[in-house]
Amino acid sequence: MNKVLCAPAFILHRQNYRETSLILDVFSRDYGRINLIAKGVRKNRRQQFSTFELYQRHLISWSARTELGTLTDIESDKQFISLNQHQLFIGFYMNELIIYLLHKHEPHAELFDYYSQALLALASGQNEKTFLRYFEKHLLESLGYGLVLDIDINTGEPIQEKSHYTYEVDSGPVLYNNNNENKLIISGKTLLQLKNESLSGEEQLREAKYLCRLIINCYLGNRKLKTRELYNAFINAGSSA
Amino acid sequence: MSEISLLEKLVEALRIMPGIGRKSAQRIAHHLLQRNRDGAKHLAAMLNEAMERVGHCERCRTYTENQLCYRCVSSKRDNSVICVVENPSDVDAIDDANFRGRYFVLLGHLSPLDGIGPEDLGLNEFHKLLDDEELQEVILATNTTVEGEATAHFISEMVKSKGKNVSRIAHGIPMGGELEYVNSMTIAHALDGRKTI
Repeated sequence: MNKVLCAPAFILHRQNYRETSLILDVFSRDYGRINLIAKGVRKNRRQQFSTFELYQRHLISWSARTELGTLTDIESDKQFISLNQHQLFIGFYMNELIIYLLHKHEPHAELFDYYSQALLALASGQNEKTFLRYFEKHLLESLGYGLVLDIDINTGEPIQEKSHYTYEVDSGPVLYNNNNENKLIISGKTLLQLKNESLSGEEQLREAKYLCRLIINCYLGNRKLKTRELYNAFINAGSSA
Repeated sequence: MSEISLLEKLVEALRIMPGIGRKSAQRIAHHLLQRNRDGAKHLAAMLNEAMERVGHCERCRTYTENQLCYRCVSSKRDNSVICVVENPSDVDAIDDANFRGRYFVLLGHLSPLDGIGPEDLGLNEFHKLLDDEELQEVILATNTTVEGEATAHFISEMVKSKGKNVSRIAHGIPMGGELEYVNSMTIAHALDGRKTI
């Protein structure tokens, strides 16, 4: 029997189970992603979801004999993170990426801390287009697919701000020449800014978005991100006059 | 032997009801057989009929055996306001609080990780209701969970694009609640939603 006390963790997803229980998909700092069953917690309906809310940092205790552990205690940790409006959809997106890409029971403390920071940044109203890219970069690093952003993998030369590159998904940037058409073209400036986490400017943000999307789609395989579809539907809902 | 197995089957069948485990199912089955066979027959007939005939209201999606539910048919209700809720049981709760406008029942909330999107909540039908000239305001009464908030925000964008008013029910300290026992998240919401008096 494996007992864990007061581990910092976020709840990524929860599902009702039977009459009174919940099954939680939890992202803990030191134990990675785990599934826990919270027995009987829906009996007291008033307390129900405020305790098991998404996007909040919790201290969670559980015991596990099998794959599915049993929650023994939960309390909220540190300050309350309040996401509003479209920020909620961005939170769903980060959660979906973690659930799809991260293996269970693999601790990723660095990614956990970054996720935590990203939620705080989101709640404070910062531009999500920058730190969402950094989150994706950290996520890829945690998976062992860290992006090469500083050298041309063909020549070994450092990336030049003024040059343009294409990106080989499984290796890295290659200097752009007219032969590799139909590929995503990214400026050296974007690559370096993404590396240094100093993205600024419309064009750089757009290029970084397409670059991250290209690579993440590749690791997702045929899976479509439901949160991305929902976000697009959300944008359309607001504009369909 | 066959009688025992029929009783067993009845006990098994009763267990589909929420909150009924094996022991309770047995108790119900024995009670009905011993003391209330007529009531049980009536229950069986009602279950049969309801399962066959009860569907969803074409306008508000709540349960009804007719094309439109009695609230949608009623001429005494205020057509200028629609209240959007997650579940049919929420309709009764809000009706008890003397709301007399129209309803729209989503039968769930947006939950991308469970694959529940806008079309599953009947938002295409809802979009048509927004074209009604008489309609002036939409009240969003989805639950105060993350998913409920996301759903409310999604619908509010739809309503705004049609140029109608949209409001969200207040959330915070419950009536009769003592601050000391309310969790910090609820208090934070209550502070955000404070109003001048």
